[in-house]
Amino acid sequence: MTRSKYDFTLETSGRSVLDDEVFDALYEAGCDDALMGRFLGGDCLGFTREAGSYCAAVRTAIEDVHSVPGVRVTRVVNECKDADFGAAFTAAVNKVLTSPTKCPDLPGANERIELRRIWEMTGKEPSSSAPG
Amino acid sequence: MARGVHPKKEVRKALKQLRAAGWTIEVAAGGSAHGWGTAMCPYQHRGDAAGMSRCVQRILSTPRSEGDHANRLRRALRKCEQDVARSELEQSE
Repeated sequence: MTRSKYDFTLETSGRSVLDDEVFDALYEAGCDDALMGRFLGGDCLGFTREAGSYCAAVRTAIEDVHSVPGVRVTRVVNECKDADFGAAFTAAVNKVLTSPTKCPDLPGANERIELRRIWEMTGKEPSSSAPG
Repeated sequence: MARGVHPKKEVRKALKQLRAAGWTIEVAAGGSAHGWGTAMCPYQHRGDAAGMSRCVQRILSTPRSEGDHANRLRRALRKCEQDVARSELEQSE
């Protein structure tokens, strides 16, 4: 499968990514391809992630972030050069992140699979224990 | 490599651009195993309920790709400057 790099940002809530413990935990969880910081008062991780598809890139990034206790993704911002690329998937993911009661439908099989995985992730309660 | 100098050449180039734009670059005091330092913009952006806030970006010591990390820093600079320009336009209207 051809792998490409995809640009997107994950906005987060909960424990701050600027906290040393959280920052190191995110790096060790796989976010060494992200720039972590704060913009307009909100924490975010800007990714340039290599994956087989944009959907897989976003899904694995959310998985990595959610593996760190106390940090949750609240929104995905697509930064691909073509604004239409991944737009439907991004919108569906953001719908799932804000109200995960129902998994939206998408036309593509790969998109549906990846969205379903994200939806199942967001349905799980985050751990409140500190890492380490 | 001297303290205060990032080990990756591409990241050093990006940090130079941030400094030229007025950003403050602070080398980490040692609290983080993977953080090299922090870059902070010189502006006060509209922020959250706490009020105005500056852009803050944590710089990795060993990013997966130094080129991508450098590009991300430049993107953060552009976003900051775009928001400043937008705010100035709104204030002038």
